[in-house]
Amino acid sequence: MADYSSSSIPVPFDMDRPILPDLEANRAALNEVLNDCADAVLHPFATGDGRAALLIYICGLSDKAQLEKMAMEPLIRMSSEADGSLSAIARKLPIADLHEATAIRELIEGLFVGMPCLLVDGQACGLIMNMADWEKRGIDEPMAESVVRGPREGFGESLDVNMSLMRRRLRTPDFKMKTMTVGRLTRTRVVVCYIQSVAKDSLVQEVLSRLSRIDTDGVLESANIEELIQDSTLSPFPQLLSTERPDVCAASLMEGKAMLMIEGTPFALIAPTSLFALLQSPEDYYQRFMMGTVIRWLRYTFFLLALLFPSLYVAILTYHQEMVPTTLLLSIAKSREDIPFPALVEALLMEVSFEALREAGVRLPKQVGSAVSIVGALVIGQAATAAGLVSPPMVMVVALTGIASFMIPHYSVGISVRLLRFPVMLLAGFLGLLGLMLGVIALVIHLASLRSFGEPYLVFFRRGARHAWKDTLIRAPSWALGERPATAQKANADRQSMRNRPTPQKEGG
Amino acid sequence: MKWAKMCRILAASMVLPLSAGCWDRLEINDLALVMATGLDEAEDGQVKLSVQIFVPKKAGDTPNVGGDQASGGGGGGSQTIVKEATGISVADAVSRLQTMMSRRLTWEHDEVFIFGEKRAAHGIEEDMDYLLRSRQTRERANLFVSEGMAIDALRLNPRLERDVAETLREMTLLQIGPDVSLFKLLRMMRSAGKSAVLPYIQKLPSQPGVNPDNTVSYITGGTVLKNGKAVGRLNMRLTRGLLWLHNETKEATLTFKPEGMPGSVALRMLRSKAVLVPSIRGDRWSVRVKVDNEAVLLQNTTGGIVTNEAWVQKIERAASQSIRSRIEETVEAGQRQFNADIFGIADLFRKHYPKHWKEARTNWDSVFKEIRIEIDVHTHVKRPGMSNASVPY
Repeated sequence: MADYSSSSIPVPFDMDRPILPDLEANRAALNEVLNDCADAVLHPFATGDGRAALLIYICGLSDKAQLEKMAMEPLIRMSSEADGSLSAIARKLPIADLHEATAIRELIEGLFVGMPCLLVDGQACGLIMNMADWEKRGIDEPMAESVVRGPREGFGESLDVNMSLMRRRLRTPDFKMKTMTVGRLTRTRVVVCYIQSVAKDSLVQEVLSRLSRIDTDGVLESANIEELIQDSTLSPFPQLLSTERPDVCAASLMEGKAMLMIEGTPFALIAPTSLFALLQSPEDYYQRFMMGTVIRWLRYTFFLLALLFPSLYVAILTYHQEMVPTTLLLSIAKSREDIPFPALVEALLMEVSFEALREAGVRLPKQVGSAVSIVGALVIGQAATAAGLVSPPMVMVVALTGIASFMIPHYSVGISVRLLRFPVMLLAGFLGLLGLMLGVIALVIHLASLRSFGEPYLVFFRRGARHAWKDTLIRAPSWALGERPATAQKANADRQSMRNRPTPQKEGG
Repeated sequence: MKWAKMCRILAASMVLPLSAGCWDRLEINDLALVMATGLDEAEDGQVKLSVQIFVPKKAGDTPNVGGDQASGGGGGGSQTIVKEATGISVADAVSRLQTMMSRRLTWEHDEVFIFGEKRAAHGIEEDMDYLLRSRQTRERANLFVSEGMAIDALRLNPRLERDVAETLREMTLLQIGPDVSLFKLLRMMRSAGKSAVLPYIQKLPSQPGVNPDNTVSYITGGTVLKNGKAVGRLNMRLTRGLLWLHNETKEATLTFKPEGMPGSVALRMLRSKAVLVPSIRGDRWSVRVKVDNEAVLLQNTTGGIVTNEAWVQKIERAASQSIRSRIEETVEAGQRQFNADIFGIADLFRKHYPKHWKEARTNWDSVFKEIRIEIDVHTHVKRPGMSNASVPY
């Protein structure tokens, strides 16, 4: 029976078989495992003292030139007088990271993360050399989260580069990174990062235990992990913050949060998170605090607008005409006169076509994308009103809602809001403002009951979060943000000195 | 099992919107927006209801001019039509009017109610009952009494504003005449004095050569209501006097000829405050009216020097005297001519002398006639305007 537990490679082969002193036997075993793996190279050669040796590596995962120079060359030039044991050879090889393996499993696992292996006849162990190096994308500016002022570095697909990006920001041994492997087939490396003295131990344990419970065949993106470790599985809201910005991650870690880096994706996950954190942009902290505060409130307003504006329009126009200022109502009445649809249908029509347009624009190649937006703007703005399908005020409502939903800095929250807009719109269309309020109440109840790794999603209303207002209602100036949020350890709640506010030095003082 | 259950719940919830019956939405396309309402006296004490309805056609569309009194054309702006129906009460007339309409009549945006002269004389209490009881009418809508028939005032087609309603509403906002809303009228009619004054509107003669309907109604005075019936009219001068007592003068310009000086002086009131203090000494009931004005010099043709303290004081005294005589005339009209307590004096006594009031309330009309009203006006000219000397002449 094959062992399909997450800790083994699903190959019907006894992986725990030891490495034998007989090189030919080992070679046969490896040939069996790596059968039909076109990229696996088993390169036999002779060492300087005449023994047979076998170098195994995967094409494209290791630096071939280095391998030849650092591993093969010294071995071929080895004099016959020297100590022939593998541990002695290891000491003489100019390679920084290498260790011995005794089981085929170790060897194979090393092979697929870019560690070539050296077997020498007569030795019952192999030498695993870390020479992982492959083609990767350089460090780019994060595409989805750009800032005007702030670091331009973003994570890439390579885990090692990402780890180094983080380490460059947190140069302290207090910053820990624990590696785990997830995925039966993908064997994806996942790194759990936290700052030991700041993050609560319970949080780290919870993250590790949730990760270890994952048993799936593949992890290709952080979303795969996110869905498997979140608290509420059926909520439309993201309960982990995903970001490709190392500075956002570092800031979160210093607030006592934990972070997950997943190999093969530039998106890291931050847990726990709150709705307010998802409505913040790093730029809030990089610009002056007054502007940060105002922008935050603008964002909160537009968050509500993105959610409720079309519903409000529909509700008021079909049930509460007395609420519209007379002159405005008259001009709306004029423009709506020839529209054949009820306001609800009109709104749905426009919103759906807007969403379709957005999706088309995102999915298409960039060159075609601009064409889509031009055609779309024509369809939505001009043609639809000219054809008498929708009224100009509705076009304005939809356009404003569109802008509002693009104002949400995290795409994942943006799409939840976009989605929730439709049920609220239906409620408003059937029950008027009453329905709209019912929708809002249901939503608030849901949000209040949501938790992200045990922390309330509406963190502002959390008990004990006395200082939360400083970073939610406003963006307090840096010198006033003296306390870490309630997510951090109580013992280490002090973030900085209380005397950080620059003041002129008193004379004689 | 769980899946089957979920499917069942889903199917049930999909039926829900259909099983709720009719969708009670009301699109704007289904509404006939009433912009102004007229109430006239018809034969046999019936009421003739006329409404001015907004026609939601875009400017440039040809208005449907046949049949109804389409008052579009001329201005080329928005169009309104006037419809009428007669019934034994307002409610009856409304329901009759609805039968003639393809859209649902809605009064939610009606900001103007106009009573015809005859209807006001007949009494407006019955109509007020409907207007205050209906949930569609705005309590902040303004009330007017028009010369002749109210429906004729609705048929006018003002060129400057959107329609008659907007014209009249904007005019009241300027506080030229009394600003009386449904709610305010209710309060006045329920007050101890049971009297009120509604703005009286007349048609402004149209210019020669222009469509005679292209004109506006404007406020030319007030109609005195006593116990819900119109008992007489105040001209503009008397109405202004009343506004002075009600603290409703905002844009007042006072022009007068000071004694012993050539020419006239015009003052614009910046602030004006009247305080009414009731008192009873023995059998003598009296009210002391203190009016304090702050004014700015608007025009000076007397040749006086505005920086001259003595001259300014003379002007101030003359202004006070002018205001006082205006108020006195109004008081005279209220007490003697109409015997209607349009000043709210009954309320003052009810509050300050409840015992005396209880005894006097049965024959309040005769008591009111005899109340002595002392008027004390003080005017302060605060600013001389942009120049200090007059243009030499």
